[in-house]
Amino acid sequence: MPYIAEISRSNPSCFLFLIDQSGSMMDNWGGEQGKRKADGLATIINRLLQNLVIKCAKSEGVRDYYEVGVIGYGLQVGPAFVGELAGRDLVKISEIANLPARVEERTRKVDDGAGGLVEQKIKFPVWFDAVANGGTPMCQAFARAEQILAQWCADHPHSFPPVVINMTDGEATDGNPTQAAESLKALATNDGNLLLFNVHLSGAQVATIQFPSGEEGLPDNYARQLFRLSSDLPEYMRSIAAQEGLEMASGSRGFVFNGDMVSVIQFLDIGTRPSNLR
Amino acid sequence: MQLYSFWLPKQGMAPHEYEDALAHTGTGAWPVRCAVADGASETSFADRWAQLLAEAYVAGELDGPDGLPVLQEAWWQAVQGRPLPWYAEEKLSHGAYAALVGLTVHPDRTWQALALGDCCLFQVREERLVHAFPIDRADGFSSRPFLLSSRRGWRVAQADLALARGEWQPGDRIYLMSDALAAWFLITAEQGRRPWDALDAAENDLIHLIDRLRAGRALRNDDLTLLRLEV
Repeated sequence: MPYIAEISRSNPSCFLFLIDQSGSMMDNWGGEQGKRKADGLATIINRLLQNLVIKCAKSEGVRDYYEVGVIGYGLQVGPAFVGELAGRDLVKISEIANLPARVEERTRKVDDGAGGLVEQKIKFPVWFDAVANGGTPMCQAFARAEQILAQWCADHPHSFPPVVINMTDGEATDGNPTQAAESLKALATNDGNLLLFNVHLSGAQVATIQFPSGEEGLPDNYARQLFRLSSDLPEYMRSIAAQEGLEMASGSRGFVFNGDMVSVIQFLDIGTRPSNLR
Repeated sequence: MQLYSFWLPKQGMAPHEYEDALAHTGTGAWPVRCAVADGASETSFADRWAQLLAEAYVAGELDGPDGLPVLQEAWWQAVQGRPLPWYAEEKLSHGAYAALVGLTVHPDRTWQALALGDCCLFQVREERLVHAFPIDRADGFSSRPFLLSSRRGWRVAQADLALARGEWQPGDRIYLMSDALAAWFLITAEQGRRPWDALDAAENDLIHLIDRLRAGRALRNDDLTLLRLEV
């Protein structure tokens, strides 16, 4: 049965994020005036990295359960980290933790444990800045991911297979990405095939659609194409999602329209996570 | 009365990374109290929290409503005050979480127990499982249990706290254990076999039994704690 490998420091897994940095990412996101897709995407990817680090953090430091990469595609295709990690394809999650480009201070309202809210200052690390320039070479991005992860799978034959999360506004400008995506999804470890998930950031004023099991209800051809490129969520991930309160039908795919994919991080177990930890 | 205990970290982890805890009064005086706690691995300083909970139960400090706030303050005082990187600071703000099962055995041949989460108690009499608490079916376990939080201000609702009472007879065996071993125990019992026999027989060599069960995937790789009381 695939997708059961234990994720541990001696048997880590891998997340690779593919980030659309094309000129069209300057457009507004979801019709919201003043909020560009590129800015929304930068927030999403920084939050994803932050959540991954916190998931792996323990009192003594960060445990290397994952290797992580961020590949941008726009004017160029290549590593998109800024700061000390610039230019690197895959890095250990502990390096991500310790080497953000900068740490901003923000405020948020949190539960005070007694039914109220209090304002709390938090540190907000940044590894990735908004970029919007050039075309959308998605085929090249998938090919680059395949090149990086073929080696990773060879080096980690018993690991939980890599998860690739592609975030885009949907319009590839270097051809039909289907073949490149299928070739990427053919990579595998002994535990199963690589999982390719897609996040579609659209200018359409359509509410978030998460992990659909069919194309009905998706608003345009680009969304339908990205849905078709997305892997089925393994039963293992769906069962954890159900424990997190997110029931999914069999055949649900790793596809989100106009939302983020932070929840996917919680679909992979690295240990006991209390149901009352939010 | 005899008391036996055993613990082992998750395979691939060092002993100092073990995040369960156990505590007991010994068997020299009544009542006999013992507890097993299991710190949630996705939270930080969970080992400290599990140890505080187990020791507080045994000391009777969780008997009243003021016990938990005192413990939460003790945990906070133990872990705060040092400069931490951004992720450790964030994680600390989430608090630590742990499951707990505690048992008090009285001289009048009764016992009472308290549990929150998936640490379990099993009572065996003459080769029969007569009590499984708070989980009594193997499919009752999940990787997302509801647990005791160290966050100051967090309070446990009475409805979430499981309480049990029972009677004991001389020769009964009562086992407290953390979730991975408890899940194996219940699966084995549901298959009509006697997991207590395997545990008792391997008492001097439990580590090899555990290694074998883990290798065969019959036992989930997790911190493991067992406390056995023969009354």
